[in-house]
Amino acid sequence: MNPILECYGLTKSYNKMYNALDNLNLTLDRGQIIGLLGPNGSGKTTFIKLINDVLVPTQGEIRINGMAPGVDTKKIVSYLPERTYLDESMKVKEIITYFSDFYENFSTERAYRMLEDLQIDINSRLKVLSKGTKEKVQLILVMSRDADLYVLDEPIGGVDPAARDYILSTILNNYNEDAAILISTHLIQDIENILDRVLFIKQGQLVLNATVDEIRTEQGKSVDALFREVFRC
Amino acid sequence: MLGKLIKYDLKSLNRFLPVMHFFILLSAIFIRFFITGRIKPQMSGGQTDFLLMLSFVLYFMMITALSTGTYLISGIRFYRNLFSDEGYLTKTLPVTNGAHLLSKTIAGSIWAIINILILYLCSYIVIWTPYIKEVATENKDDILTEFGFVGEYANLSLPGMLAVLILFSCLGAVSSIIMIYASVALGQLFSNHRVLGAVVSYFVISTVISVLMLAAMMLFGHEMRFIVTADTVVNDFNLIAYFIEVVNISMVFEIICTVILYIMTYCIMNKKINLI
Repeated sequence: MNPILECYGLTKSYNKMYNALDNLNLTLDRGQIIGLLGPNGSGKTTFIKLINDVLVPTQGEIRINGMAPGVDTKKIVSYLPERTYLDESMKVKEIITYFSDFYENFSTERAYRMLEDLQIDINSRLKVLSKGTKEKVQLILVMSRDADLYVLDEPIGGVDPAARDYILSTILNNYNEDAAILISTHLIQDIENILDRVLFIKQGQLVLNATVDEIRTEQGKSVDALFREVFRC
Repeated sequence: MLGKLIKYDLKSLNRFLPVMHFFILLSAIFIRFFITGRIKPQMSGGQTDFLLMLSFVLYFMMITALSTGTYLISGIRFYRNLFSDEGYLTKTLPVTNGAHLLSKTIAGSIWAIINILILYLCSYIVIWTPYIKEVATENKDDILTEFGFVGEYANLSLPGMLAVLILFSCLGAVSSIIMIYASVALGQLFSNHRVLGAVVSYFVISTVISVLMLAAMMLFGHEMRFIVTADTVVNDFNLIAYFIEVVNISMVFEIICTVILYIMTYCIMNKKINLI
């Protein structure tokens, strides 16, 4: 089976002076939950946007299941951006219909079940929901797909700790060994226990690619402690 | 997938445009019953002129607001759906950029054409009062002569010419929608001032097209010779002949420009779009 994600010399610059992502080479296999970690402005979101074809690389290439980003990769990648990307005038149930119309691997039943668990009214318009509830709705939409790669940019940043636990268990329960989950977050302590692998990105370059077990056994540290050490200001 | 995209694009436009057009239709009926419908043969010239002037100004304001609103809303939906935060969902749907552009062009064009048809319907309601109809019927021959339905053009039918005019207007409406989309797409290339870039692009594109159009008209010898000044009185001018010539040249020119702008928009969407 193809690796789920491959990058070769991937570079993105927004202007000629500075590369947000600089010559990134990386291969990620399926069946793991990967933490994409780095300080603000390190290139995490740029990397995620390149995976999802919302940015055009300046140089290099990116492959998802052996394919360049396009229609076929969008069928198998489920993306949660760090912003509200839904039409706020729509009702929650209309958004569910929208997703099921466009994504063949979307499970309406799973989405309704999770909405019920989190007591979100499906007849509410998105614009009347709180920021945290909107984030929950988006995460439910993304995790209701049977995707090969889930790309979650700050999935728990704006929600309360109780909902955070539910979301993390949702992530764990909804993915299978043929899929991979890439999570970008600052809340390392909260997600450390569910991660299999971590990627540290600093100034657009990959500075660490290791499993959580390797970090714990070889360095004798938690991921959070190592992160604070590597990125000390 | 294209069908689904069109369904959702129409749905988002349908939130505003039917209400606006219904209101304009109501306003036209209002003008007809309270202004133009009250013009009677026995009224003095001053009163008639005042009512005509008032209805003309009101009607002009109405159609300008409606057309501007229709194009503006289509352009804003295009921008918001593809290039703002919503673009993060739209761009990650398993659909090609070409399908997105085609869907939005079809949805925008449908409303632009509805807009044109409603404007013609409003014109009919406002202008075609029993009194005007009576005057027009009585002076039909003079009016036809004045418009140039004489000689080789005597056999042309007025309804036929109106149909051509409506078709030409509809083509212009589709062309305007694509020009707005092209401007929005071009604006995305100005990474720090995308909205301003779109507005500037619109004015640049429309100016360039106008200048090229004028040049094409002059090239074919159809410059604005209907303008009659104190010094130049044109006696052989035939409005309908001029209309046919202008429509023929403009239609070809407009189709060429629209195709170029559509391809340009597609290329920008495919190769140059970076959502920030």
